[in-house]
Amino acid sequence: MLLRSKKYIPLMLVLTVMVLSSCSRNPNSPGTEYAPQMYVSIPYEPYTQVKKNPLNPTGMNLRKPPEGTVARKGHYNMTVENDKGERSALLVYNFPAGEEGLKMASKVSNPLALPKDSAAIDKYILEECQPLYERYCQHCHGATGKGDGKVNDQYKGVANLTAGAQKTNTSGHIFHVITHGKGRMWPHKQIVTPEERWKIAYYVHKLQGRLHEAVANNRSDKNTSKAKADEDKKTDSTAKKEAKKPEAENKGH
Amino acid sequence: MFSKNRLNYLKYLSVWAFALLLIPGALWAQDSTKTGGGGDVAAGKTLFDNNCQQCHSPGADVIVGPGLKGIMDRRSMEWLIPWVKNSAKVIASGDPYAVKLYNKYNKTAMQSFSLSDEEIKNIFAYVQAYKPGPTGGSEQVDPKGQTANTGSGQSNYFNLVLGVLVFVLILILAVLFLIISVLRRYLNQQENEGKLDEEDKEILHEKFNIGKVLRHPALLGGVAAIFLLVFAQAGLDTLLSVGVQQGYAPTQPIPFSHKLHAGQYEIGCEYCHTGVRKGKNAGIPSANICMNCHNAVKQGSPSMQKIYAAIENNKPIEWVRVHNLQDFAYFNHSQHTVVGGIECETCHGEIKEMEVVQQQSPLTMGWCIDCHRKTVVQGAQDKGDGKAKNAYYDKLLEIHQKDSKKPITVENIGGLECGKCHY
Repeated sequence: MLLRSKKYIPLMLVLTVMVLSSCSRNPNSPGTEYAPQMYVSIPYEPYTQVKKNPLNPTGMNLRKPPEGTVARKGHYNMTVENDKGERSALLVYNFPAGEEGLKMASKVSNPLALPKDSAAIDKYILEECQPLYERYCQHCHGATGKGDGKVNDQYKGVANLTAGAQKTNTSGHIFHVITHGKGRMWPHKQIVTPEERWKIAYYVHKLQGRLHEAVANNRSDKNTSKAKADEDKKTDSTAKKEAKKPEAENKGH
Repeated sequence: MFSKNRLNYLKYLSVWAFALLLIPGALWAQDSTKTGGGGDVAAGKTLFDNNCQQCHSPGADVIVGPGLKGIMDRRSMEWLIPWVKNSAKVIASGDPYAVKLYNKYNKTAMQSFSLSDEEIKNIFAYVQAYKPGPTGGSEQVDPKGQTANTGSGQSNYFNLVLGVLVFVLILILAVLFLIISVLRRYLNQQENEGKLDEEDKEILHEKFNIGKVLRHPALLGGVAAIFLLVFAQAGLDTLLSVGVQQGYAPTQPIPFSHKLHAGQYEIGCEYCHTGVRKGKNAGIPSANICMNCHNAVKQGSPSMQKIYAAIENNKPIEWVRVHNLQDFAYFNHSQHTVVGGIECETCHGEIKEMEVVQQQSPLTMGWCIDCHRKTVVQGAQDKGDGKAKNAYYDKLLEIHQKDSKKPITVENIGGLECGKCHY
């Protein structure tokens, strides 16, 4: 009897190991918690929630801001400073959606100041602008802007940014298209902040091989007060006037 | 009789086959004559791809504007050229077809194109010559297929090596058995001839006694010890896994695949998790980000219906949170992504391979501290590796490097202070 029970020891051992190893966790269960009352925030956290919030219509802690709310401080810059310490607006809310707005926006040049020498410009584009394009645009418009991103396999009608009608688009045009969408592209204003949109516009110019034009524009832009030569420059200066308004609000930023 | 019939049948078949062979050629010939007069198809294709394809398909399907299949049957070139150059002008002139078209497509005006008459003719020559099928997509599919092939090739190679190894081992075993049997036969022969003494015989006739071996205290002790250790290990693991949700992969209300979106379609993390560089939470995208593509892609799928319903009823989708960091530990995404320059995958694992997202890292304090001890603080001068550039550490690093050769880590700048995370 004793012998027999001992004979089963290896068998039992094998069985135990099997049982223990088969107890893998249910992927749907978060596992045992020791002190859940310490795990969950007592104040409302936007993304952590264990029970329905009775105060909000959707039952979520997260609430949509009231219609027409303008995000100001802490979220993103509404204005930008150039190297002379002048502030100009990032043209956040100036142009309406649609054809008319697009026409108006197309005449506006990029308010972001580019660095002086070309090496610094390259660095600025590489570090500040390219990552934004890669994050928000590349999957559709492709790494080279030819509209050959991977999403294009599914979502037809992606624009080639470097050829045809798109090749000559101004920064303002690009800004407006990112903001309000165009053709098949939906508005991306909720995803990309105004400052980021202008930076993306610079990178698109680089893909188009037109960065030098943008640089030239940017330079002439600074001298608008002196020389009001052509029509484009006039519109730039009007844009600057508008820019003065939000300045006061943002002083305490 | 039968054979004659069969011969006729064959003749009949061959005539038909010949005719079938001719048809595509005839069609092609027709096409080339038709388009040859209109314009240059190849030039038209480039122009079309650069200017038109984002709104129009050369086939029959509607993208933004109407599909252009059969456009030359519907409209004349005299009408089309002014339309392409300035559609708003044609609409304003009160042309009934133009007004109807404008109203049909949600009053979206086609933009004006500064193309020459010749270029416009080339475009329509391409549209006319267009045949759906071989064009598009194939180029993008190929590289993927190639990588998949090389991947499977590698695994095949591995399997082959494994197979050869197993074969060699089996061969060695067989040889050993052979040697044993030969030796045994030799010894038996020797015994029969009476050449072995008692001691040798004992060894030769020794029987393996399983019971005796099992009753041996050393074995029993060993088994008991292993048994205890395994149980102790299991118990310890269970205790240590309390509150650790590593491997948690809950089923979501919509089976969203990161493998498809982030992997196959290469959509960046920040496109949907917009807060990851801007705030504490990376954020779960609202349904309107889904709609940037899914206004057209996979409209019919039941999961998409859930998203449409969520938008219509203003009822957000209740995703199940995967990474539940306890509230008593503070964590901020932007601090780690922007300042630390950490890639998403460092903590979240190979998201691009995950069909269902699971928690890859333990999110325990030990895990946090470990990284804080190892991570070297980056200043602006450590550039070139794609890491963060924090010019505000430069002075600190400069002073530090005067006295010490050891790199400065997150620990040294207060990364292990209790109050950093627990307050």
